[in-house]
Amino acid sequence: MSLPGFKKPYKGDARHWPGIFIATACFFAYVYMPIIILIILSFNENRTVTVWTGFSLEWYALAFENRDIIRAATNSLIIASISSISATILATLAATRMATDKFNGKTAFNAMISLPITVPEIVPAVATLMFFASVGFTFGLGTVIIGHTIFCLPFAYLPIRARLEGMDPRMAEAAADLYANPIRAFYRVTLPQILPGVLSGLILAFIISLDDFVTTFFLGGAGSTTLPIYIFGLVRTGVTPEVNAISSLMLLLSLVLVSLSLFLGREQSR
Amino acid sequence: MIIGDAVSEPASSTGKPDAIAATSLIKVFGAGDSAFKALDNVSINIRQNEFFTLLGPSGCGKTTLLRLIAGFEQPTSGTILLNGENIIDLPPFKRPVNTVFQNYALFPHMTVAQNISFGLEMQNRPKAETKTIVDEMLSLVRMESMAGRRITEISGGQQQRVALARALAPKPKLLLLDEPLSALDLQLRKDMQLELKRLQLETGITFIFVTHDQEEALTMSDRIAVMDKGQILQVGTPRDIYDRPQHRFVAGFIGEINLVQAGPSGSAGEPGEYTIDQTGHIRVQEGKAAQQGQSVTLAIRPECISLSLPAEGTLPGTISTIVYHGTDTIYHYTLPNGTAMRARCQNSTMTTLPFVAGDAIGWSVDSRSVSVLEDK
Repeated sequence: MSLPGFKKPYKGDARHWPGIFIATACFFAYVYMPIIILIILSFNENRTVTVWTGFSLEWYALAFENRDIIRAATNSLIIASISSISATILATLAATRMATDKFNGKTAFNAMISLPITVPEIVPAVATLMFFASVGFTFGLGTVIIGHTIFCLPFAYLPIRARLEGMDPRMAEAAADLYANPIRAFYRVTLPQILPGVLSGLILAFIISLDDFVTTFFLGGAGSTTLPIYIFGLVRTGVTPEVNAISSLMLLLSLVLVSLSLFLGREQSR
Repeated sequence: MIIGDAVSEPASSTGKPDAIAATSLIKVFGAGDSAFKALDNVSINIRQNEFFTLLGPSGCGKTTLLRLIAGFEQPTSGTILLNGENIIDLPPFKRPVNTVFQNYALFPHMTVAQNISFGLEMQNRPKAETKTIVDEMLSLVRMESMAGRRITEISGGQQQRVALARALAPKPKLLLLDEPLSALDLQLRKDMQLELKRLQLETGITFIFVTHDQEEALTMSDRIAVMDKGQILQVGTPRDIYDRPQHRFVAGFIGEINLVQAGPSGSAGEPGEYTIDQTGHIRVQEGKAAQQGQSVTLAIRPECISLSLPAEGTLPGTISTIVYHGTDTIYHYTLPNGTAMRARCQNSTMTTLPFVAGDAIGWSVDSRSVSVLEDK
């Protein structure tokens, strides 16, 4: 029975569940309110973080004048650049072989390349720490870069692999048929076609490296302090609006890069 | 124009070796219980400047044979000579052979002209020469106005032409075509059949064409090899294959055909005469003499049968169904021994046959139109 003027609600459609709107609003508020408050407070004039007195860019100016912050930011960018590029090159090589050849244990290899995503980060971090210590490496930028390259690899690998799998296998054969040796075929035919996937993987790896705390904390040494490590240090002595300002800047950079990655991802599905 | 009836010169008269001489090719995919023999001891000779077609149902091994010649697969055993030289150890990029792929496999990140010049660039030809050849190819396939277009911006038929131009540009010794017309609609396919034949005659390049479409094979080829289950059953001109099939499979795969069991004539019978049980004698030109007591299968095309009223010199039958097809009429009739037959008669106002279902008729066939099949 239905009353005039009322559409009979379709039970299977989530839009008609009672309270769905409030629940959704609460969920998004829970996730994003702290971040929005952090951004708003980064423009707060008052030194006491929780009391709003007026708009100011003072904390951004202070952050850019702070030599320690600049040094930490530089370290972060150096580490993220080198490790994401190394990881992307290795991932491209691995993905190309995995997509074109058949060999025994291929499934196992595939799983092993992707495994670091699911393993708790602390495990490889501690293991690598012990390995480097026993080999006698000096902890610093170098060890952090190696560690980051390792855990960035699967993040770069997955989009490249997906792109290669979407490519027509006849394409490589056509290149070989037209006198291209395997190296020229790769540069002229395969690489241009998987480029969106490669860039997408590179950006993803860069962000993951930029945000990392655990591996950097375990494998770092003198002179390898990154932004997340520096912020952690500041927070221990009390949250200042300066921390809010740096965090907001990092958020902005990440958002830009993620958008770029998504944009490239959409290009490739066309 | 009867393209398919062209008679090709024997290789010996040109003094050149065969374009392709393949011997005892075997290709097995997989191993153990899941092993699949895609090619089972295939030997074939393809002459210079020939339009040669590999015809067969899907899974018959025709594409595998093509991929072995291109070098994408290695044979399990056997040899392939290209113009007399063994190419079995050469990787695909060192073989002077180009391929037109079934889905064209054009490079989507390049323009039409860049696709065509790719092979020439990979051969490190001079820039000026490359430019000249690309222009030549564009006009050969009538795509001059499309040179700067991206592959995604042109139609299927145009992609087909670009794929042809790309494969022809390096002037290969051999062009391999893997069902290149299967993705086109009927009218375009008919146009491209003529176009392909024209290109082959103009360039003088040996074409090896793979198809499952018997009509395509009959209209375009100089010679056809009919394949089934990894073996080549018969090689010959389209007319040979159609008029004188040697195998039951070949007879059934190409066109409609009547198959009749027949035994040897009595001891007094001449060679080339067979007996159809309860029906009568039938003569076969150049027929192999049936061995004592051995029965054979005779193949007769429906259009080769003449129907008349029962008379001296005809064989008996009873009309079961008459189906009108516009240009012709199919008469289904049965022999006294129960064999179902079909006769196809052209419809012309002058010669309307006065039969209705149930009528007794007489039928005859010219001895040259009867083939004796090997049971395979």
